[in-house]
Amino acid sequence: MTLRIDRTSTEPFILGSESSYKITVTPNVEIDLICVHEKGLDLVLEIEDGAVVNFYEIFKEHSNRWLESSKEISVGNGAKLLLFELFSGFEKYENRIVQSSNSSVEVLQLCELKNEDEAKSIGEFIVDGENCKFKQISRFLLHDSSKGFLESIAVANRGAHNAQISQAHNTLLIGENSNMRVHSAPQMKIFHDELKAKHSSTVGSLDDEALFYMQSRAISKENAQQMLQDAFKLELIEKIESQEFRKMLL
Amino acid sequence: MIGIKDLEVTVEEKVLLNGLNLDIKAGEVHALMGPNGAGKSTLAKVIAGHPSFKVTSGTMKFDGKDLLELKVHDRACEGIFLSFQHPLEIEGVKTNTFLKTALNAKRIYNKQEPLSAVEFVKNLKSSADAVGIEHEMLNRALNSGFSGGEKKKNEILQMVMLKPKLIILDEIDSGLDIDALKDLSEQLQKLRTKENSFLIISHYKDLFEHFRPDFVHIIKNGTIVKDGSYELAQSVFEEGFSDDSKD
Amino acid sequence: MKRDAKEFINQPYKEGFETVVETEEFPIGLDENIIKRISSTKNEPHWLLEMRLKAYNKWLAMDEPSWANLSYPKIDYQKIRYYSAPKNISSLDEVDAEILKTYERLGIPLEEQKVLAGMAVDAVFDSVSVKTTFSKTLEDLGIIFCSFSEAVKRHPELIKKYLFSVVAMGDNYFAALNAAVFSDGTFVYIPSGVRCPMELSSYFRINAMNTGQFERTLIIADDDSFVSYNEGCSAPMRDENQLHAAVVELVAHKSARINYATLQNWYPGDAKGVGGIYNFVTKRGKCAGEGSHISWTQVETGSAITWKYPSCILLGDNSSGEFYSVAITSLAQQADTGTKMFHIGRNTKSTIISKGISAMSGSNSYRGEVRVAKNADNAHNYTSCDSLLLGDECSAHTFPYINVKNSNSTVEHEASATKIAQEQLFYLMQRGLSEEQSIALIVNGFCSDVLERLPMEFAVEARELLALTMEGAVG
Repeated sequence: MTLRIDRTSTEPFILGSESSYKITVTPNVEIDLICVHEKGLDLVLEIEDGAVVNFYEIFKEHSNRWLESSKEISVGNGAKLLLFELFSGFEKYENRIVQSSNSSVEVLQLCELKNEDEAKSIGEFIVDGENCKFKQISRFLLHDSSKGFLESIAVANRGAHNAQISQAHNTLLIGENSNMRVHSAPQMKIFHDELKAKHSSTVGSLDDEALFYMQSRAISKENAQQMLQDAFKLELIEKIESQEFRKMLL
Repeated sequence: MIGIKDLEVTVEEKVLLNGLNLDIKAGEVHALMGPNGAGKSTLAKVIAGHPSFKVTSGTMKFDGKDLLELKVHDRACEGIFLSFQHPLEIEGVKTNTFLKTALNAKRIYNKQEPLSAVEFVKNLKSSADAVGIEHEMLNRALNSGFSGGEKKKNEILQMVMLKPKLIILDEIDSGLDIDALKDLSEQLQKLRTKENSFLIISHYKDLFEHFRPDFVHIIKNGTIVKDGSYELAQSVFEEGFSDDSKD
Repeated sequence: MKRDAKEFINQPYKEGFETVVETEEFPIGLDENIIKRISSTKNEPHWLLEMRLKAYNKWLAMDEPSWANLSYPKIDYQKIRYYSAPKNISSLDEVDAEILKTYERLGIPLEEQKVLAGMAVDAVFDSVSVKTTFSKTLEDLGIIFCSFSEAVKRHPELIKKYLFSVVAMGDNYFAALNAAVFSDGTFVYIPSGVRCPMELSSYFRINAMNTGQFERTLIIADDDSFVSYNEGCSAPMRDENQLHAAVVELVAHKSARINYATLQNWYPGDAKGVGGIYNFVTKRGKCAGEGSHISWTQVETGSAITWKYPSCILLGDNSSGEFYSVAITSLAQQADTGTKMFHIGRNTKSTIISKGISAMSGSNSYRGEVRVAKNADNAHNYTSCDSLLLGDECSAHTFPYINVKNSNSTVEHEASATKIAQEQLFYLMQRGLSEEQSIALIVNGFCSDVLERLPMEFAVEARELLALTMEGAVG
């Protein structure tokens, strides 16, 4: 399905009935796109100069077989994109985003896996112009014997003057003597010198000090653990401006 | 000591200084005052040779030498010292290592023998004591983790050790409380000799009250609009920068 | 190793001279006969020849790796000479005067009086360890420090026990090649409870044209022992590329500690990328015993292509591994280097600090792997990689791989890429430092975390090497 969004609207545009989309958002248009899909997604999104897009994505139901979301997004001069993906078991998200000058992209991914679920996130993020901002925060919570796979590469091409690039992968492993696995590979390829680029990856379990502190203030161990896990997720969820999408999450 | 004539300075096509004239002789203390954006910091950086600024016309002479022909570090070795408003932190570069390198660079430029490690450390310790810096601080990375006041003290330490001829102070008093300010003024008085000169950029009367300038200049829109003595500064403190400018 | 500081200032690559010496050279190319000849020239026992041939056959069946972020013309392995030894060596006491002179020019102490430097030196000249000083002094402590060839003859049981125990012959393409054609290297054994009283050092030099250097080093630290080992290298300027495919195996037993430091200054090639050494090295340490510790520290400024990942296998409970590295790529150099830390035992710890500096058209990639096995309870890793870009033609890349299968472990990785801030440069220059001095000071500061880990002598040399490399590297 081919779509052209040429008017700003406070009402979000809901996608998900089709599995393949080609969407163009014309210059300076501001729009929220919410995609709730069942079978998978194949998307080519062109965000033209000055447009502002918030794209929220979630699979309708938990699945036991692999589903894929593959997106190819171009962000024009001065445009802005917030991409929020909430995913769970047996989902693979593949993203390729290319940014032109003066644009800003924020990619937020939140994934909680239980039992034997697996999830994969693969990303290629290219900054191809001056004064761009790119920020990625991917958070995985792994329980039981689940498996998380995160590989993303941020590329600053020659000419990416003044770029500000930051990638963060954070993985929380929950449960002692559990069998979960995480593979995290945030990568950077920098071909230009006048910019700031950084990335980080952390893997760990709940902070013992924090747990102890909360229990010493009469909070039960289970509640304390839950509160910390919620806090881990909350930082990303707070960035969701769309009321519609928040409603969908609850 | 320094003579600036009809100086025009631009940055990316924008004119920042326009026909600026200033003369400072040895032993004098000059104050430069003006509203924000008038060009005070620009002038300070241009005298030091900051690469961002382009001198499009005019001359600058320092002790008979054409400053425009000299690079940043050569101007420093000739005796120009610019105290930074926000002194920079440099990772992994120890304060004492840095000072020794700078001091010896100047000595070699002026055809003097560089100091040996022993001589240098002696010099450093006594200077640090005079300024009120603990020896342990000298072993830390340059300005790293220093408070605002400590950074300013570090700048004074550099002045004491490098013994510059022309000391340009760019808002050195910003962020200091009354006691620190008094301390600063005392240090500046100790530094002052008949051979060196000061160009002080500031808004605040407290510093000038304790360290009185001989000459005061008001700068507006990139050019000096008024010259006077300390009374001029006092009238600015009372009335602010008025809009009518008398040349 | 002391150097006359003045020598550094004048030549762009000081070590680019050739020594004319009679060498015993094998014909170019590689086949089973060459391997048999290497083995017989060194009077090796049959079991070692068999291992070489086994490795050779493995190598034939392997493909050269292509996943690294490097681009270089295909290496023709039949155009390389695999053995070149100065002819006049029959015993360790007779060393060709020319060779001794070479080492003198390089500032390497081969005479007893250099004990003031506190170093025992084993110098390898084109495939043969020329002389090992202080053997007697160390012998009294039970320490074995000799050439690999000699160890094969005098301590075959140790060689049989440990050779290929950390880097198997089929581990990777270059390790297999090395296992087939290695000519010599260093062997160190520290007995239980002994703390080696001096820094041990080896110096490698590739002299003859088309000669690959395939040295093999094996260091074993028995329970409760300690050794600090330094490796430095240089090579003359040539138009053809020279291959360096070495293998280093370290084994640390219970509570033992091995510090291995490398100062690599191979010829980097010219600004167009012609000539220069291809440095493909496999270095791995096994923390076999409980509480053992291995630390790798390296300063890499030379070689046209660098492909090396000094690694630690943290097998013993409470063992720890460290990796500190400064890698500079300038001109047209390319480096794909990093480390691998394998956490297998419990309560293991690893620290990785990597500083990459790219200048001119250099390309610098950090590739690191941190693996935490399922039963590696309470594993901790901290990694910090920073890249400094000087100039607008260079590039810096970071490829970390983190793989965790244990829920009680912590892995923290952070990386950044920046250039030298113009304000920092201006600040230093305004205090009288020239642009070169300012950059050198900032670069030194950038690398200080790593340089501080080097043994004193090495640290001085490393700073000189950094300064030398930075000269002219400013765009």
